[in-house]
Formats: sequence, structure tokens, C-alpha cells
Amino acid sequence: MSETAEPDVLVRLTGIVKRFGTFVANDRIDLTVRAGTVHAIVGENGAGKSTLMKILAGEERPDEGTIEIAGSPRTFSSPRDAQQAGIGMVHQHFLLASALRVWENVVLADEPGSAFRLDSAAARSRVADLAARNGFEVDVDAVVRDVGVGGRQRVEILKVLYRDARIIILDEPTAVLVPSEAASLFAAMRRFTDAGAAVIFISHKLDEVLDFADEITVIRAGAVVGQTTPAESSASDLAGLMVKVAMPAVAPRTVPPGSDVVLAAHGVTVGEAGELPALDDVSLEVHSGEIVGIAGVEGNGQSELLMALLGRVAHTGRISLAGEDIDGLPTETRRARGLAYIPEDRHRDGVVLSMALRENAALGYHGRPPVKRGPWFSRSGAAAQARAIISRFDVRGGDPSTPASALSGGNQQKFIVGRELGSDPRVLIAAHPTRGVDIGAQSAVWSELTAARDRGLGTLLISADLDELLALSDRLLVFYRGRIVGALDPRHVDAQELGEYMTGVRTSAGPAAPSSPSSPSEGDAA
Amino acid sequence: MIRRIAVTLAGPVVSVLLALLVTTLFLTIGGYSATSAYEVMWNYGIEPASLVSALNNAVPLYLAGVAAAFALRMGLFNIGVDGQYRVAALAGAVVAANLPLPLYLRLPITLIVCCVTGALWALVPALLKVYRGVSEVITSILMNAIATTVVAILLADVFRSGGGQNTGTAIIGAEGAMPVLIDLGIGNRTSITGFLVVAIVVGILFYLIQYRTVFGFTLQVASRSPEAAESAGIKVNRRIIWAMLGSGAIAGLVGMPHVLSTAFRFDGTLPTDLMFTGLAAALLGRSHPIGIAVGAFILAFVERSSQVLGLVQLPTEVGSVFMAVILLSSAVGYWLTERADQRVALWNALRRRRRETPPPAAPLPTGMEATR
Repeated sequence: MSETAEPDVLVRLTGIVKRFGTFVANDRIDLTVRAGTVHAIVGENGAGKSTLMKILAGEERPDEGTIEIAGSPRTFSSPRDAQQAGIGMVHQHFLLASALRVWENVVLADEPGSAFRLDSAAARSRVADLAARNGFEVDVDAVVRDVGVGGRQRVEILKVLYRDARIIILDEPTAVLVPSEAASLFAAMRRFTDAGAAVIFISHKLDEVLDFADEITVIRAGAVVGQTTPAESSASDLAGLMVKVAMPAVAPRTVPPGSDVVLAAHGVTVGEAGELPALDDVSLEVHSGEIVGIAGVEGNGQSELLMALLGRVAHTGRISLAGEDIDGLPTETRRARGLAYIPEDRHRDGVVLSMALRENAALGYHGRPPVKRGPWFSRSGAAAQARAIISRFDVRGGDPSTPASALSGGNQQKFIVGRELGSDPRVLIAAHPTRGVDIGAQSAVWSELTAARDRGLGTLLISADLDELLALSDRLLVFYRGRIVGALDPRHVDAQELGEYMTGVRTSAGPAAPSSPSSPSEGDAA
Repeated sequence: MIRRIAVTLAGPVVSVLLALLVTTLFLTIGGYSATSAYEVMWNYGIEPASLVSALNNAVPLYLAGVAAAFALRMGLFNIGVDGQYRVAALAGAVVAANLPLPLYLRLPITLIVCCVTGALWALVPALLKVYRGVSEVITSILMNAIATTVVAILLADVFRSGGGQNTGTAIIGAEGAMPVLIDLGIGNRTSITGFLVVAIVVGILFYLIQYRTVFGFTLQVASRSPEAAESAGIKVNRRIIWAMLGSGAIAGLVGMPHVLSTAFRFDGTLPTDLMFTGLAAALLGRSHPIGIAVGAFILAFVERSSQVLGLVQLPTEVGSVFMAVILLSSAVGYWLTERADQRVALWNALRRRRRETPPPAAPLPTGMEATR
């Protein structure tokens, strides 16, 4: 579109590498952004988009690589440095002081006036003027606490504009917006680029990317896998780039699934009042001896579903376990009734790293024998549990007294899977059961899951790994924006089609035109 | 195992050495001979009367340390021990003096009343933390100030006994006081208080509850990983409340050795700052009941033996300096050893991983074996 008119490069990132421990978040990323363009960066959650933008905004320092702003190389040691270079970032989760007024938030840390006196009148009028010039309808005197989500986002953008940013980064700006707010945001973005600024926006919603971006960079697993423009590509091309395309051989099952429903959710909704619910009216059923796969780009309600099933968040709707309502029950009782849980982040709530495997074997099972004997914690009982898990699931690198932190990730994961399956549960909720583990551990976990399935365990499998979903699931449900948009048969679906459902290009209502901006919200639960 | 013992010991040793170093510097700069000061202190400290006194003084420090440790193991700083024991001591003094029951009933009831009072006083910060998200450090400090005022008002207007200069509760007779455990009979003031037994019982209970029960396990999980606790069905907020209640209950006993064995009433002579020394003991002992006992005795020993310095024209503040540095350095030592320990653990894990990863083909067949 406009890149021919304004060919001058504002941002050039070369060979950016960022590691967190042994995890490589950004792997030699090159990125070029021209003035006067909207540059979209797409990819799944966890692909490394936000990390890359934090590096550009001076919040993280790259381990390798160079940043050039308008032709001159820069190193940012703080967000302040980046601001002075004309870079401003609007975070996905807003960083506002909710007790302060709108204009106070905007000028915060850059107040006009002397060091001892804040020139309130000047500050207020400058913010009001800025808002008026950019066509932002926002009451500058309102307290941010009382401002809605769309308004808060405008405040964040005003903060960036107030500091004369020429490079504006928006991290998943439309995630919290209703379509009309999103449309006005894109109109505002276009005004910034017309004035010569560059807008970088992160998204995994392909329809809006294709509608509003001038250039598109696709990132997968920390690396750039494609650079294109909307004219040259379609939503399905992008979906294919974003998600790994590889079809595994599906092992046919020999034992048929049971007919009794062991886990059911009816109209479960999780969300704060006044915002888009993160989990929106979801109904599903899991039968005994069945694995139901949940596909979806991360952040589309899967975590909320997990927390609701586990009893950790408030929700509306009904959840039943083996035919009995469990809505009012605390996590402890749900687990005691046979709900096993493989968490999505093993370090967060799967194991306690500083505790020995003995104690970790008791985690979640501390309220029943052999760990609990009267009021006492039986170390020998817990150690026996740990030993049983270690030998049955081939956990290497430790004995019951080894701290969990000493194990490799794959062995930690095998330990968790072993702990949860070892209790002979009725229902297993497995979130990313093989994330970050090697092939050996992966096949071990897979075969344990299928073996438990054949013994009659009902499993709800949530995964970002399409291979895993297609290989293990008997049925597939696709989540998009907190809703189920598709119920698919894993034997008759390919990754391409699945990717289109996951990115909202298609719903069960039939393929939607990818150019329609409001298409994702029209599709309803299957 | 060896590493665990080394880590447990390294902290206290580092802090005692640091404290000695700073005290020596302090003495040397002041123009005193550090070695002769230490010699005088040691000789005085190991006299039987001094040892008995140190032991008796260590008891309230130990109780304060265990009280602090009970909350520390849940990751909470109960800075309100001072207020809790002052309020509880007043309640205990009133009950001990007035309850018309024989000693074997009156004494346990007195101690239980103290525990309940202390626990209730600690409940306020716990509830504020759980429901309003206010740091327990701030609120428990504020509760100390409130305790001072409440105790002063109650003492002046309600429980004051007698008139004139008398500013204490009614005298507690033999029917309400703590009996002497052993009188060594070597010179005056060489009787060991019965509170030694109370302290030992509290220490054993602390160990059993914290280290041996399912409840103690859930506290540990909740403090180390609240997320893992919630997913495992452990309500973190409830653990916070129980930890503060337990801490407050133990804290309620801290003032009682003074009330029931020394003053025999509640009055202005009750020490008001046992908590910080007790906290130092807890940090020195790494929150382990035996470690805290050792720490409490060391601190009481230093406190006692530094009293002699005044007689030989040396500053008695040496004791306070020593203790202040211990409090500072025990936190530092704790942190240093913890860091070192984590470093070692990380290093071992990395080395193990490096050993495991290079031949990716080798571990595979056995990895598959788990299939059966």
C-alpha cells in the first residue's frame, strides 16, 4: 500500500536473540519497519512476539543482535531510553494508576512544571488538546478506575503520544475490545501512520491483520517464519505458517469409549463484569474412556476452563463430575472425588521445585492415605508413593529425597503425570502434558494417557501441540475467544482446517469471508 | 545430607562470626582491649549463677523465637509478637491472680487464656491480609502500638490493684504462680523456672505440627508455591490465618515467665521488646526448634555476660551491639547461604542435564519401556 511512498526505515532489528535460562524466546529475529506503515506481527501466544517488542521498548535486553532506530544503532538500558528514541509501547495488560485521573496518568513521570511544582493546568490542557487532536473521546478528568476498557486503552495510547513517539507498539490491542472499539482503534492507527509514524501491532487474529496491516511478519517458536503483505497472502496461508503443520500417524484405538458422562460443563462462563468474558458459555461432555481434545490458540479461554473445572475461579453455569454437581465444592473435595489435574505450567502449580519428590508426590494427595495417617504426614507413605511413581513412569535423576528442581523438565513432567494417573482418577484434566519435554518422555506420556483411557479414564486434553491433539483425541473442540467454535473429528480434519478454526477464520457455521472484520464474533458455540 | 547440615550450620556460624568481628571493631575503635573484654565476659558468663540466669532468660526469647518461626515457615513476618504477649500477659496475670481453682487447674487455664488472647490479637493482621491485602508487617506493628495503649488503659482503670504508687495487677500467690523446676542451691537466684518445661513442650509441639503433620505440610506448600497449593486443594488464605493464629498463641506465652516467675503480677517491669531478640534467635536457628533453642541461649548468654563489663570500666553496650549485629547478619547469613545453596543445586542440575543430553539415542529405549 503505502510502503512505496515512504521507503525510509524507522526500525531495523538484526539477529535478535533472547534467552530465558535454557529457553530461547527469540532466535535470531530480523525485523524492518518503515515509517508510515502498520506492521503486524502475528504468531501464537508464546511464540516470542511480546518478548521481541519488550526488547524494542527497552524493557528487556537482547542477548545478541542490534537495534537501529532511523538508521543509527541504539542500545536501550531502560524503557526511558527507548522513549527518548521515540518508541512507545501499549501493553496488553494496561499499566495505569487506577486511583489517578486520566490526565494525571498521561503526564505521570513527565509532568510539566518545575521539580517541586506540578503545573496542573498546563498538563491538563495539553492532554485534553492531544486527545482532541487525535479524535479520542475521553474525559481527561475522569478517574481511571471509572473508565472502561476501551477508554483505558486510549489513555495508554495518549501516554505514548504525549511522549512524542514515532514508533508505536500495540501488544494485542484488540484482545479486550468489542468490534466497534477495535474499528475506531484501527482508524486512529491509520491517522498516526499518515502523520509519518510507524505502528507495530501484535496479534493472532488474522482477519484484522489482513484488513489493517501494510506488512506482516509471522513468528513461530521464536523465529521469523514468514514476511508478507495482505495482498500476497490469505488467512489460511498465515494460519499454516503460524501453527506447525505435521500430521502424525493416528494409532487406532481398540477399546471403544464408554457411554456414561464423567465430566460435564453446561454454560460455564468466567469473566469480570463489564469485560468480554474470558470463557463464554461453554458446554462440553467427556465420557468414560474418551479423550476430548481442546484446540485453540492460547489465551482463548482454555486457562479459565481449567481453573473453573478445578474450582479455583468463580464461574456461572454448571459443572458435574460423574453425574454429581460439583459447583459449590472446593478444589480439595473435587480432587478427592477423583479429579486429577496435569497443570499447564508445571513450575507454577505442578511441583514445588524446592521440595523433595517425596513431598511432591503428596501434593494434591495429602488428604488421603497413605500420605495422611490421622493428623500425621507419613513421610514413609509419601516416599513409597514417590518411589512407585519413579519406577512405574521411569522418572530419572532422583530418588524420593531429591528436590524436584534437580530433575530435568521431562522427568518432572513424567513425575506429575505419574502422580496424577497413579491415583486411579475418574477424570483427568491434562493441560499441555508434553510441553517442553523430549521425544522419549513425550511418547511415554502419550502411551500412559492412552493406557489410562483404555482402562476407562475420561480425559480432557488441552494442548497447543496439534500433533498431540490429533494423535490422542477422540473428539476435538476448538476454542476461539472463549467459545467453542467447532466440534471436529480428528480423523477427518487436517492441520490447515484446524488452524483456520483456531484463528477465527472459520466457524462451524461455515467458512466466513476472511475480509469481514466482525466475522469471528458471529460464530457461535457448536 | 551433609550439605543440609552444612547449610543449616553455615548461617548461624557466619552471623556469630560477623557479630564478633563488628563488636571487636567497636571495642578497638573505642580504645578498649577486645580480648580482655571477651575474657571477662566469658569468665563471668560461665559462673553457675550466670548460666542459670541465661537459661531462665533464654526461655522467653525461645518462646518469642518459636512464635516468629511459626509464622515465618508460612512466609509471614509476625512483627506483632510484642503486642500479642503484652495483652496476653495482662490477661494471664488477671486470671492467675483471681481464678479460684487449685494450681494444677489454674496454671493450665492461665496459659490457655494467654494463648487464646495472643492468637486473637494476631488474628486481626491475618484477617486484614487475607481480606484487604494489607501487609501483615504493617498491621502487626500497628497492633503493637494499640496493645501499648489498651494495656495502659486497662491497667490504670480496670485491673489496677491497690492505690498510690502501685501500678500493677493483684499479686499472684503460690496458688497461681509457676513452680520452680529445680533449685540448684548454689548461692542465690539459682533456681530454674518451670517455664523451661513449657518451652520444651512448645518446642516439641512446634516440631510435630510444622514438620510431622499434614497441616505443616500444607503450610510449607502454601508458603513456597501458593499456585501449586491452590491447585492441590490447599486454601492459601486459610493457611495464612492458621499460621498467624498459631504464632499469636505461642507469642501469648512470651510474657508469662516474667509474670508468673519473677514479678508475680503484671506491672511496668515486663520487658517490652523480647520480640526482636527472639526473632534473631529464630533467624539464627533457621526456624528449627533446636536451632532456635541454641540461638536463644547464645543471645541470653551474651546479654547476661555483658552485664559484668560495667564493673571493669568497659561499655555494657557491647552486648547490645553484639545482638544488633546478630539480628542484621543472621538475615544476611541466611540469605547468603540460601543463595549459595541454590547456586549449588542449579549447578548440579545443569551438570546432570549436560551429562544426560549429549547421547539422545541412549535414554530412548528405556523411556519407551514405560509403555507396558
